[in-house]
Amino acid sequence: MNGKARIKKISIALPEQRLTNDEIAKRFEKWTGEKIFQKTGIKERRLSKETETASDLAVKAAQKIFDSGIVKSSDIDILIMCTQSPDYILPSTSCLIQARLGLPTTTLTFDITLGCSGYVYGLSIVKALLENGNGSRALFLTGDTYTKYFHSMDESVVPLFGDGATATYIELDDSKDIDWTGPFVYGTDGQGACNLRVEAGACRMPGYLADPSGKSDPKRSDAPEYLHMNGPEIFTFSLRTVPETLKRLFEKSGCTIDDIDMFVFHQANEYMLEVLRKKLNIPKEKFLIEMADSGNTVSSTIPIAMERAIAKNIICEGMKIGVVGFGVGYSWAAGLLIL
Amino acid sequence: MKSEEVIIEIEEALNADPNSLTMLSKLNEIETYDSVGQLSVIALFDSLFDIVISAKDLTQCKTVSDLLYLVKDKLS
Repeated sequence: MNGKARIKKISIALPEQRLTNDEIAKRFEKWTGEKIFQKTGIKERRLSKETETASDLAVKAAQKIFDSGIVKSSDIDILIMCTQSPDYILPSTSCLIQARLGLPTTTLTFDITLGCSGYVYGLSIVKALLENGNGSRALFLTGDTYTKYFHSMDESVVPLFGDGATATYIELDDSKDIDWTGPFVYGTDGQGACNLRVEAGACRMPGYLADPSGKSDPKRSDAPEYLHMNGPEIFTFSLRTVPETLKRLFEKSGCTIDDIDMFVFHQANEYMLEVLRKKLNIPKEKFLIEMADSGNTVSSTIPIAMERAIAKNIICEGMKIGVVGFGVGYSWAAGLLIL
Repeated sequence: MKSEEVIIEIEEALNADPNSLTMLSKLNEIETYDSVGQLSVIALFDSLFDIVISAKDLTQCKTVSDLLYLVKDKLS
């Protein structure tokens, strides 16, 4: 079947446990719940249980797609999972999810290990696969449990990140004249890798080398097994990169800010988003901020924000959406979508 | 823009009391100059002067005067 890749449905799954600003404020001297909200725009974030992984959440999100009746699990041709919190070093988490969802054994399946840029990259990959004869129906999942990488007293990450997963169902639409997804532009600068990283646990620095006892000293928040973020460097990177990326997207698409109905940026934190919005002169009513009750969920922030905006009728069918993902890597991408 | 005017902008960005900062004020003694305060200074210079200073450069600054020299340096 020829056609163009089109997003048909987005669903989300968040862990039940909540971490409020007041609870965080108890850990850090000088902080109050109100101050945390003012600086981040986040009221609460969700925490996965010790036994709950990103794949557990992603399976729940995918199941909601099937429960809606829009597609049957037996009809899925492509399954992609974007995560930096895999169940195991190997195999790919997507292979485990294929089995748990009962997808056909003919399914094309793999993982993408990108973070904040992952949703935009994933949509581009799904589009390329679908429009080049590799199937008609794709399930694109995102999911992360960054809170498992936290030191509980690291004030640069605890207030910002939360766990969550999403599922996006994309199928070939037979209207051949409309590009529902794309164009996309991309970028990478690995020199920024050290500014947002979990250093230990893989092959360059196996966990047992970083900590011969096999168990990290819980008092040391700078241990390489934990997630570390240099907030000011990430902020600087974003201020430099996002405007230039959006400019490239406009050049490639021939669009301007006036042509876009809604911008959905990676929901890093409200402060940064507001600085970027002002710098880019994007009107407030065209700039979605939807992260107050979930925080920064890495590759899931864009689909979570979109799903909620669709539920509130802020985003409607036929709207042109500009999406921008940027962060860990450094890796970034931007693209256009028509819902 | 005069130095005095930039200092007023820095006070506002850091939610510091009016006239509380001078060229000689030490950054580590400003209560609100934490990691979020640093973001505010980066954002301020971006909006005032259209320059994005690196966080690394910012960590070299010890006083308000150092911040102003950093801007001057970037603009020259």
